[in-house]
Amino acid sequence: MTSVDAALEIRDLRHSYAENSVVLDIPEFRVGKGEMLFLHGPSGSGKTTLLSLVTGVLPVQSGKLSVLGQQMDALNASQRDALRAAKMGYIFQVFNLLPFLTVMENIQLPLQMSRQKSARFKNQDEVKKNIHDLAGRLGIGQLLNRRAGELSVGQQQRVAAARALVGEPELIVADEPTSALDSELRQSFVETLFAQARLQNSGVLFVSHDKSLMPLFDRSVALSEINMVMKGKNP
Amino acid sequence: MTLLRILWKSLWNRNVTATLTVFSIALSVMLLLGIERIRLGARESFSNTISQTDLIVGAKGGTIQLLLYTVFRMGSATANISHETYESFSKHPAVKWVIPISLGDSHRGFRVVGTNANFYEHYRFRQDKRVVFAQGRAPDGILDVALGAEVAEKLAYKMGQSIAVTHGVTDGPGILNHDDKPFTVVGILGKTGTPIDRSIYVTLEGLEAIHMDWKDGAPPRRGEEIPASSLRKEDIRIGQITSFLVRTKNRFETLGLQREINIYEKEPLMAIIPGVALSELWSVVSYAEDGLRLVSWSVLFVGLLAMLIAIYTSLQERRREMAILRSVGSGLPKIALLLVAEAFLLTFLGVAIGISMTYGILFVLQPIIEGKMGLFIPIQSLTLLEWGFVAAILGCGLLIGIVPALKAWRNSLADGLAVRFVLPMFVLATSAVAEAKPLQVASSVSWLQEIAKEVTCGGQGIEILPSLVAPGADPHSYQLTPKGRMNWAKADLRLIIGEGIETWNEKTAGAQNKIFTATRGLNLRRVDDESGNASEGEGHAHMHVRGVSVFDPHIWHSPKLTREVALNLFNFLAPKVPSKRNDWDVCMRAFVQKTKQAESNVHKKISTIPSTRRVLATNHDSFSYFAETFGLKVVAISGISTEGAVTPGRMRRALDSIRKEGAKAVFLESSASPETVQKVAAELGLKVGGELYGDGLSAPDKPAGTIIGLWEYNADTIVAGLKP
Repeated sequence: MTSVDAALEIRDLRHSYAENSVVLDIPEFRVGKGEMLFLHGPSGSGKTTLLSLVTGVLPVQSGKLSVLGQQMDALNASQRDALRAAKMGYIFQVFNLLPFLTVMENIQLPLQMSRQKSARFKNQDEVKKNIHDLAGRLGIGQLLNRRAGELSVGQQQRVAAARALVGEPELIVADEPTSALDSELRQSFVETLFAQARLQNSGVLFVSHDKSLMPLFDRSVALSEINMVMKGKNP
Repeated sequence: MTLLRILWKSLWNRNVTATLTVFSIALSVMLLLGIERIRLGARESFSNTISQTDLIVGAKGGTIQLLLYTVFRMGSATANISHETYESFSKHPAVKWVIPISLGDSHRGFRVVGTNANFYEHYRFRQDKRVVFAQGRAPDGILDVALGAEVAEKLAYKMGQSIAVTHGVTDGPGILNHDDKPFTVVGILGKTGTPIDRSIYVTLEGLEAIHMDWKDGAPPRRGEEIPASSLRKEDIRIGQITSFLVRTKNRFETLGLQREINIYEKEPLMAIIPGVALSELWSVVSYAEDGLRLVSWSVLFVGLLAMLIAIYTSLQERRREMAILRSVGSGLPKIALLLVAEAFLLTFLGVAIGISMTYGILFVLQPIIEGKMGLFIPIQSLTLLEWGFVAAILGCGLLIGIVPALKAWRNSLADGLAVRFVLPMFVLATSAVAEAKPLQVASSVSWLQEIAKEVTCGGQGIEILPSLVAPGADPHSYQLTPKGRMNWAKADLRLIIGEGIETWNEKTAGAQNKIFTATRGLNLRRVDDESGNASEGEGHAHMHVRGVSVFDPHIWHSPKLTREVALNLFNFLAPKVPSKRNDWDVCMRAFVQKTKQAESNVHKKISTIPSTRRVLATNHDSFSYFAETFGLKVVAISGISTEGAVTPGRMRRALDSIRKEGAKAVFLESSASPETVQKVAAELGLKVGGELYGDGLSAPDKPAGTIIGLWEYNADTIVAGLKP
């Protein structure tokens, strides 16, 4: 029932943290591979829970969740970790980087965590060259040797984008990555992220409450529409 | 490997706590090993008090007692043995040498030992160390005496000093002194770190001599004393000694000889093997040793506990680190492993440094301790027991690491990829909150907005709103758009030129304390009537505030003043967004550099005009700063404001001054009426120069849309108009 070209397929996915307090109830939802999806919803709409399930940080309690062709409900914790390492990139809202590492080292992290991502490169020189190119396209080429803690928030988010993109994962999950940015920088951040994601065929699942970014995406979905728990609460 | 590198850098990032932790462990380890070393040293010194002696022989009694009085000069013998017995054993075929020991007298609490030359020749301690003389020689004459090192030092006795021996063993000055036969110090022994240092050595004959005239343990009666002068060594026959030390020719014969002595028929004798007796004695005092060790283990426990606390408390602030590692694919076991590895690494470093410090200190202190305390602490590789300690400490470190590892596991499970912001308040204040909703800064005019934008790296971490007077608009008209007013009203901070130039500012709402005067502290050009080319009457409306002539506001035409404004704005804005200070600092400097570059460009351009032709005639007096900077003479068609009408009288005066200065062209100004200029040009037969930007920047897409662009544009226009 999982189609090959789906990045995300949900059927009757329910999640609760305590009895009688269901936070997520999604009867059906699907995201195509390589699709740029804008998922918006206010805080408390189950965004974090959904992202935790998609990335495999939380186990599926009930229902079917297929991510990049893998049945998450059939995988154990370490298999889900491995899937996240190999096929996903993640961008946080803020504080994305290990401040004591250089920008280069931060971007390299996913390669060190996943054989599949690092297997794209023959040797360390190739890795360095690839990261140089990637950083150049994201406008952080001159920052690679700086300590991540010294960067501005805008620069940090770009580094985070580079880290999510490195190793060409199939899905990039971004949790409000622009909320810490100035309004002028938001659009250019998303555009740069998309340009690179398209170049390497990575889909983007972008969560934000800033609807001004919506026009940039292939498709946008309100979490309140697909999450039955929220239906009616936030029209 | 990778994880280890991350761990190392993370630790390095917390280097102060990490260093303190490592040092607390290192100190504990040092204390533990140090105490162990001292214990070993003490034990070594103790058991090495006597070496190469195979048997100690004395009257029958307790073995430890014999050891104590013979070797440690403590307690006293219950019985003596005869000199004949000693003589006969000294000639025994299995015996290599014997050293006689005769005790019983003292001097100021120090034991007097009667012995012979064998002692100085054969006695060994600490394997193969022999008794040496620091000064003088061994006692040979009847009344010769040699002092142990400690005796000489404590009593401050010198060579040649005369001392009296006390009968029996008493502390301090004696009651029954052999003061009729005083001894003379002929030698002082070197320090040995053994009880030898605390004794006084005389010959066996000497001891016999001072007791010769005694009867039944009492001093001689009057008239029965034998004068010292009549004593001769040959005449003295030694009756008894206390004990003697035996070295066998072949150590296999020791046990046989011991048995032989123990069953000696002529006299009840006892022979003991010093090593055996010493360890028997040591076991008596070893509880002290256990106590010491208990103390050092306690210290180590505290050190490890400190590490646990340090790692545990760091977990809270490292939740972000964990979440990031989770996001790139680390599983929980890896994160737990990271913490266990951290504890182990800290312990390992602590142990390694502790061991190095122990050896380092031993190396320095060993000679000092040996010299001062006579305690020899051997520098040797770690003993098996000490390796055991090291292994136990590392094991404890590993175990302790499990505690924060479990905590991190639970944290990570709860946090998932949601980074909890449990950061210090100031971090939140400056980065999370302040940058989530940046301050809004409005400027009165577009050139101020531009500088504000330049020094904040294009508005990083702060929002630079469009200026109240739009670029390209005439600032004199004060035609404020509703949008401009709105920006001005909602802005958190407002930048104005100041000096009363923005008369409209009073009309706009908002608290005055949010307003910053960008020209604060600047040395502006004062405009007055004597300047000849300045305004008169209602000439320049914005130079007049309530009828008082004030400052020339065309600041952006001066590269120097522009730089000063940039610095002012930086100094005002940077404290408001401290997290951006460093970024902005770079941008501000870059901007300053750009203006300097442009300034020198414009200089080059203007220098292509022959100096006699450098006269700038315009219909509005905006170029004083520019002219001053680049060496131009300005002739304004005075009285022709952008709004005012031209009276014939004023026109005539203007024409006169233009003619007088020899202007070659008359320039148009973007915000002024071209008719006047054209009229003047026609009247004087001059050409009409290009259009200059005097009162503000052009629309952003035109060449004079930026401050620097405006300088270059105006310079090009002036050069084109004035060049022959």
